[in-house]
Amino acid sequence: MNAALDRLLRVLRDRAAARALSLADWDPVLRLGRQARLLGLLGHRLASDEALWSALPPEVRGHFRSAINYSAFRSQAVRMELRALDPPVLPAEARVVLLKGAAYLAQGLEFARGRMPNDVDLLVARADLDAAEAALRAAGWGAEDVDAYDERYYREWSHELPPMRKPGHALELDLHHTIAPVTSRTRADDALLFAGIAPLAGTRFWVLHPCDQIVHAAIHLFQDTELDGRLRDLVDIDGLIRHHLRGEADWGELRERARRHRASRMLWYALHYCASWLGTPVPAAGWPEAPPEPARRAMDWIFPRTCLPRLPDAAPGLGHRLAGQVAQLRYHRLRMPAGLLMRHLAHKAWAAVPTRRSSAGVDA
Amino acid sequence: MTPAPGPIRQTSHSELEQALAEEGLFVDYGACVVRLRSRLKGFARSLREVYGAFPFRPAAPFADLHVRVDPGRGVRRWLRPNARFSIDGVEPFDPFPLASALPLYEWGVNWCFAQRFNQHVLLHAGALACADRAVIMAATPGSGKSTLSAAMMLRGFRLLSDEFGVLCTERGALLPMLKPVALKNQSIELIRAFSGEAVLGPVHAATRKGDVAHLAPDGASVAAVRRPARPALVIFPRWREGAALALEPQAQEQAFARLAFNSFNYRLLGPVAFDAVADLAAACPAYQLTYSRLDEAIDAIQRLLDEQPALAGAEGRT
Amino acid sequence: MASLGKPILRRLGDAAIAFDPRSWETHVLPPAAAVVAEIAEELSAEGPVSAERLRRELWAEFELDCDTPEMRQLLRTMGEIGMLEG
Repeated sequence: MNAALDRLLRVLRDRAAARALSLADWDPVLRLGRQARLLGLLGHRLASDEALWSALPPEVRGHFRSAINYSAFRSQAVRMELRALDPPVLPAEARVVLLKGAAYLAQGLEFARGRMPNDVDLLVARADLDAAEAALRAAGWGAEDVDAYDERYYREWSHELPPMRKPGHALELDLHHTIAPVTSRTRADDALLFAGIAPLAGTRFWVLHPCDQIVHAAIHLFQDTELDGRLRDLVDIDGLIRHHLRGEADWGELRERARRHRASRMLWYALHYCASWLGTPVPAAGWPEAPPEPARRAMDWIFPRTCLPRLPDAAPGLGHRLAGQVAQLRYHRLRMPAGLLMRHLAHKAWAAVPTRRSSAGVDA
Repeated sequence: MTPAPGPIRQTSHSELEQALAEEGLFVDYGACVVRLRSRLKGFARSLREVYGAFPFRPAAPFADLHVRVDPGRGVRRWLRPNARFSIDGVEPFDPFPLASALPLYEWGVNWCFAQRFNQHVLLHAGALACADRAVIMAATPGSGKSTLSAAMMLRGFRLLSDEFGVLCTERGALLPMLKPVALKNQSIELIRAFSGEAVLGPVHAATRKGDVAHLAPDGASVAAVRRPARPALVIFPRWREGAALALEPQAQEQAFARLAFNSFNYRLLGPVAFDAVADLAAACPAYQLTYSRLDEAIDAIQRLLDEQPALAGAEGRT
Repeated sequence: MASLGKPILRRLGDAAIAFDPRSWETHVLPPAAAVVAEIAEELSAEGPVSAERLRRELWAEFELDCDTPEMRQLLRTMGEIGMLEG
């Protein structure tokens, strides 16, 4: 792990470590932080300590302030999107559960200040899915440009509909009916999920049981299409744990719910990397059963290389490129059974068109 | 103590190329420091012409933006030579023809700055100063803002920027974002004829915006990149062929609306921008200036600026 | 997601501008509208103001007729951006 990454993780673990950074130290740390979409979050943490904030070099403060402002803008977009979903846009009878960033924002969770949400994730029961989708369409939301094959993939095999957007709105809506892909080997316990939801006072929305929020974040860590951005997911998990879990009973419940959702292994890995890199306090009794040693070693090789932000200044090494390919393979294996995998990948190859890379990494 | 760096125009071509190929050239625009690296042959030459007065800095502890301008890749680079712009390893836009590397760089930096510098309100405007009292010149189509900014610099105003009014929300001051002034089509020769002191870079024919050439910022403007200026006057320029000079005062709420509408990030900044632009509109008289002759316009602006009361103690809300 | 409150009103010369914290929209109120908005703001110091109450006050205090299309539009907009209740 290089010095800049090490410094970034140290500041994430303890914001006071920022004092030790020189202007030259900050240069690569800011770049990595930006890649990992963590500048807003770090900015809030630093800004909440006045002495620490004013001791920062002014140019460094400027970048954090910019990210804080940008995050305020995205958060505002989320609030507006949620307000727009009051009944009858989504039927009053359907219980609509907020997931991930939208939930953290709506719940006012302190650790999540400074996030930069790109979309709003919602969960409804399978039985309510069709009605919810129809209601959204009737109210003006439409599916983004998705070809017919992808659309079928989403509907039949995945756990979410193709993203929908109302014209003029900044954010997409992702409507899920469970928290893990339907065909994957992880099959969440939907009944348990919905048994644990709690209403969010003053709104029409619900949120997941705290332990299910953590389990979902852990599942998401290994299911995401984007191989970048996972450090941010670990920071979320760290924040959820510190916020929600108090004593042994809470940890016991987390382990049990992870087991019921068949996500124990993912939880183990999430806790492992959170503890190693972010110093998340995990009591001895909190650990699910460890995966076999060879699997752990393989993951220790893949995960840092694909999950942690890197500076683009040097060409990616062979190790990194290999890790990327292995991770892609693993990602697809986790999401889809072997037979389906061949068809899906083959189609993707035909459909691949050279496009301009998105401006990810440039904004904020 | 290391000696102060000499200006780029006195740096040897090979030294400049080497810096670009290795650790990079660090350019301080005022509000922003760019670290530029490039393997593109000939790019150093263009840079040298329009960045002549900037100090040659092949090393620095910190840069805000890390960009590269490189030749095109693959088979295409022989068929249609290209220049590519990247920031932190990402190429946000399509390549430009090789000959347009400088406009690509200039445009690319502007784009990245507008994306990333949301700690300030970024007005789409030129900014010039006389003894640290600044004129903001709103950029609207047909304003001739760049030509006017170029001429004003040549007449002795300090140029802060011809593209960005960088409004620092903490202090209400304007910060320089001192880029070479991009002149288009007839303006190029107009400015060349306007003053013998005008240092113009190469003319890039038929880019997306027509012919483009860049006016190099002068020594005095470059020396002051780190000096803020206090807004004293807002001008909405309107160039009209053959028009007589006309000044129409703008009501404060009109100035507010036009400035807000003409900003890169007003919407994004929400309440922060509301206050900052309102403060600006309340503090500065605003005029629409219709003109056809540069000399007349500059005289009018100078007179208006001179009419402003001394600003010490008269700032109102800071 | 607590309620974010009423628009922030600022005088600019004879006119006013308003920022709506719920939608992040900015509105410009020409001088006549600015006066009405300020009256509404003063009244709201005693509690939420309805369009009806504002109409009554404007007529009683200033003999201002609110039945013109412009006034109705203004009151409607003020309601939409949260300056008036109901």
